[in-house]
Amino acid sequence: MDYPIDTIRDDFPILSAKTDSGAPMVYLDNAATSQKPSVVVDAIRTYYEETNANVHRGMHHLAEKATAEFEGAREAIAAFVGAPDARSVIFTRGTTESINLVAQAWGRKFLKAGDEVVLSIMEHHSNIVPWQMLAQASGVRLKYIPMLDDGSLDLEAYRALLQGPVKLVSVTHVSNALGTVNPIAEIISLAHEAGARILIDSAQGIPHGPVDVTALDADFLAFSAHKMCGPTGFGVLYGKEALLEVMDPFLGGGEMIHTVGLESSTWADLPYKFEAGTPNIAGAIVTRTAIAYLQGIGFDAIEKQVHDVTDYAVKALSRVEGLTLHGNPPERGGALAFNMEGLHPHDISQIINEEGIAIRAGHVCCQPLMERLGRPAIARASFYFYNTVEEVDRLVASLDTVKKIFRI
Amino acid sequence: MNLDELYQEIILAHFKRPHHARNFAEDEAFEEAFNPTCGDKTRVLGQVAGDRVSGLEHDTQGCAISIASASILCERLSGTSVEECRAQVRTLVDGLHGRRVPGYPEQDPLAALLTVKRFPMRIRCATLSWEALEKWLDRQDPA
Repeated sequence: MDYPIDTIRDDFPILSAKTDSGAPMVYLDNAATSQKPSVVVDAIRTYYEETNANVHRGMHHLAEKATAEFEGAREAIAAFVGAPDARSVIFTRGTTESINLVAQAWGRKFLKAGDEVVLSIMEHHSNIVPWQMLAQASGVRLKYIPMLDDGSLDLEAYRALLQGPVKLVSVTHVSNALGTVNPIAEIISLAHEAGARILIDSAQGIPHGPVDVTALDADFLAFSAHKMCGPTGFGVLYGKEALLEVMDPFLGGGEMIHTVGLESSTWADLPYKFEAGTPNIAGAIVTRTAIAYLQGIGFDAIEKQVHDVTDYAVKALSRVEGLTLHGNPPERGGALAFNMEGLHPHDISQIINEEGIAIRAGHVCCQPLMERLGRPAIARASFYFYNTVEEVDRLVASLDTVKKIFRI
Repeated sequence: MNLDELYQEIILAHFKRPHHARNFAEDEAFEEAFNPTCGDKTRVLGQVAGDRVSGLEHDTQGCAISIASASILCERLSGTSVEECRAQVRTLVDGLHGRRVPGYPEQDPLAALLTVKRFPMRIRCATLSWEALEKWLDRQDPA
């Protein structure tokens, strides 16, 4: 069966929007956030109109219904990532909070001065800064896996780094800037052979294909709902139950306690120990809807469409004179980064915006990677399963306008 | 919004051939302004004799607007007094933020720079070097 691209695009009313200049929109900023299908938007409304109540507290009808849907979402998300038990699925505000949670609740307790945490040069700031904060507080040392010129991680250098006193490796599944898909199975098993724990930042990975944390033997895995058709402000931290059990809480407040005294308190069981305060209830419930929507299309179909469109874009952009594509990794997800000679990415983005084309320009939250590329900023196009090769053609054509304006 | 307003001839000319631009050594007495949202960076330095500012130069990594702005700044403000420099910084920054409309002559490159105010996402690109200049002025001792 042919991929039903028209039906899929109809699921996203925003894709038919026009920009201020009247141009039909081409949304190529999916690595920043994905668009939301009507079924997800409707589910938010339905939740607030038919279910809204606080969870785990009230005895009334709505509280029961909200709690059942909220915990049902946890079960569904646990099944989606292959977690052995829903207790090991912690709800957070997103990948950033998930990583901070591990850095503070696990790192502060189990890492000491002189221990090493291995990151990579292509990490998003959200997988660098939390570890720097930990390093400053505890004397932990940070090491970075370098990158080869093709945009893939230098696994030889990684092996060498693992000879040190490494206690944790925290790396991205897919680079948000270059689109590089890292060989996480290999990265995880090498970390474990060296006796280190591992955290996978799958913010850019899971939206394009399911991940099985049990098969991968990941210790921690973080992702955000908003990059996979879900709402902003909701994310997940998966952790092995044995690790989560011995960790201290992250934030203190309601929901995360067992008993509270005047001087001290005891903690709730998993997963609530890490979920202080009223959670993003609608976020959890609607994320389940988003996952079901993606599963309805089928992750094989999603991966193929993103791959086909990205592949087409790589070829088309390679033919643009004066354009440099960064990296040519063995496996690329739905993102690519480029620069054009004599042009700053901001100017490119500003000009093509007038033609309705949305890309990202800047350091894309990867300043160390920009340093490695020797560029202060890049232009990034990132694709999802509702993008088409025709949209890529429009991107490429719009670059002519940029050249025309700049007389290049 | 019309892109021709943003990318006027004079802006493009300053971007393509920025005046008073060179790569500074790390130990030179420049002041720097950095835009963390995009990574653009500009450095400004000059000399002060009496109350005269001269020889303003910049080292800018950035977009067409930020480079052109730094170029125009160095060209326009070299040779003026410290006080005049400060006044010009305030006038342009206030103008870009729409707080007060400066009366730049039509052919003045500053008038071209002022049109950036219609592109809110780019105002910081235009003010970056002016922030660096202000910091540099703060560090000078006119006596």
